[in-house]
Amino acid sequence: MLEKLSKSRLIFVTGKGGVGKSIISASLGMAFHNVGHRPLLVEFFPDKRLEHIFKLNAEIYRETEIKKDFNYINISSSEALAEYIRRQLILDTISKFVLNTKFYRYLSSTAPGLKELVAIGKLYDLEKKRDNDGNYLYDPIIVDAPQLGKFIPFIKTPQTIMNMFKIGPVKKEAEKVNSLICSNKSAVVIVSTGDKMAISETIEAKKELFSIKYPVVRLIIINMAISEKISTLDNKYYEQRLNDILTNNNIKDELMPAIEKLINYVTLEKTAINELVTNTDNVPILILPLIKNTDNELLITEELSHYFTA
Amino acid sequence: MKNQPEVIVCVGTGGVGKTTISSAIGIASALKGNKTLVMTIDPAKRLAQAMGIKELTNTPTPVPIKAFKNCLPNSNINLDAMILETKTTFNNLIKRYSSSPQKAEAILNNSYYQYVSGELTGSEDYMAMEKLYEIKKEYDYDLIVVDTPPARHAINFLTAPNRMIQLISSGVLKWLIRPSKNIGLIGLNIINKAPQKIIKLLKSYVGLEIVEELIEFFSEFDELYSGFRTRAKEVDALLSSKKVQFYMVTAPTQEAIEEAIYFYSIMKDYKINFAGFIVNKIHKTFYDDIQRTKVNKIVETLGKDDSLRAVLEETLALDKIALHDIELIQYLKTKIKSRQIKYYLTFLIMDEELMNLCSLVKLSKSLEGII
Repeated sequence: MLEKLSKSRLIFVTGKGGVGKSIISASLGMAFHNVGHRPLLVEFFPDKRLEHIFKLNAEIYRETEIKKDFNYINISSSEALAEYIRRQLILDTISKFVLNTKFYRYLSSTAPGLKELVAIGKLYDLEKKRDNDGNYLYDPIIVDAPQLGKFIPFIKTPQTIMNMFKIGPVKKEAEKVNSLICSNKSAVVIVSTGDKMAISETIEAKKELFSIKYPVVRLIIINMAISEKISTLDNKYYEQRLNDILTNNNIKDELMPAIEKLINYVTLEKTAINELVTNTDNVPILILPLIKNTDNELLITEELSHYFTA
Repeated sequence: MKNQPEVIVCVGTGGVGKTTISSAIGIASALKGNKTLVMTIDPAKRLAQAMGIKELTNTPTPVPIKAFKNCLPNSNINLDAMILETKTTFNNLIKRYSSSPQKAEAILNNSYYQYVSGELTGSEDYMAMEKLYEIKKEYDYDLIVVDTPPARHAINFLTAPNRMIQLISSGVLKWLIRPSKNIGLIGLNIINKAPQKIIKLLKSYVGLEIVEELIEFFSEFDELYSGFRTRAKEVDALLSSKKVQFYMVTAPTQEAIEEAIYFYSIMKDYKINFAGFIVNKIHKTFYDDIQRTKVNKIVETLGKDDSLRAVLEETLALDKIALHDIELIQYLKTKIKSRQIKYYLTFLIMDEELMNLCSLVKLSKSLEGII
């Protein structure tokens, strides 16, 4: 499935809250690293989910190595804003004045979206970085993006700012960032679970993203699925099998309700996934299993990463 | 009853099922004979679907109970629902506090206003509270249940009124712009040298047009300011009154539980009446201890590719999740020392018909104690 994202420089991973968006971002990064890419994982302050998964002690706003050629950065929007102001205001005294006064703190509350813009602007800078041989330093950049509902306003920030500011450097900045978002260099991955509610939200989000055209949804992931491993949904079959191997009928009577409950769950999941398949045109869907045997997030991440290259 | 709440506010991070829980509390309350309103900000309109209303609007709409009489003990209940539209609420506030319709019009047409009140706004939380205040004043509900905007961090919600006041009050921008109020842009240059520099900077930065819009906005807004501030204070007073109870909705995941503990630790700094936690989306166990051992033994005797083994392994995996849920709830309880805090536990709804009133009625049974 990685080839579906191979042309993407910037991959935004979004999804309904609680579906495992961060673990998927982490395993996607690991998958790219496993096949020789040099991924950069990004999350936005104050979130520290990725930092926890990899047990990093990262400095805010500075790239940190997870492994060789596999990096992480936590982008804080106030750091990004400070950096931006410093860069724009060459006059040091004014720059200091701006940064030291309430004005600076105020800028973000009177111009909502500006902080988001500079945070996305940081992604633009990271995308441009090259090594000494002229190759991309980070390839690709994987962003643990805001959850669905907040994602579309987030991704549209540059456009909104462009409409608001008619001229000047802020508009230029917004245009610059927008040209990256609205290109085939950017991609969206939507993460969902197999329950009906998450799937409906995913279908809705897919439609909404389709209507704004860019960035393109390149992949939908169903996380923690259990239906893949279950070949038959016939309760009778399992009852027969239990009859064959068990001498004690009491145990069978205790097990059957559990099996029936599971089959019911699997049936619902399959129905929901089918609905997704018929409603998302040709967007590829990757189904990832519920990882058993471990609670360790790093191990889960590692195991999931193999499914992207399988 | 003496301590009967008049408002219940559900806070929590995204993905924990706040909207579902708010609706279920509303139903539990209505079933007890209370005239109840459920207010949601859910843009997905799932609440409307769940309650069988075609489209929710910014004003209370009765829930068509008759369609669900099969799953209700009595169909004589009084339940309304509404969705919050941030922008409409904001616009109404402007109209309310403007001295004339012309002034209101000027603000509503100002492009800076459209920008801050539009989709970029962070004032969603505040507008939810503002609308609550308005509804509380104008209607006679026994209980209003408020579903708050999805936030990565639940605490965002409590700081909303303050952030709102900050946005409209003594901002540096206001300080910059004040001198120009009656003398236009040119007047700035002779009055204050520091602002002059900044204004110049702003002009080259974002364009003259937007600076003018900004100045216009803050000048026009100035007369609304005291009205707004009084209102924000009243809203704040309502939120800290005993009649309003806050519940935090959480789910049995490490992340959500940690957030709940964090919320509790700083919540004390706010004068709110925090009543308890609702742990939602709990998985049901598949087996008891003895059964679990038996199943594990059976699994070991089966071949790797056996489909029976696959099924049993999945039941054990889901059972393990359910056990982990119990551990997490225990963990939450040990971290919160207060005895006043109540816990309500609600299970993950697995039926296909999640999106109707009947499953919400079922869920509401676990929440009856709240009202």
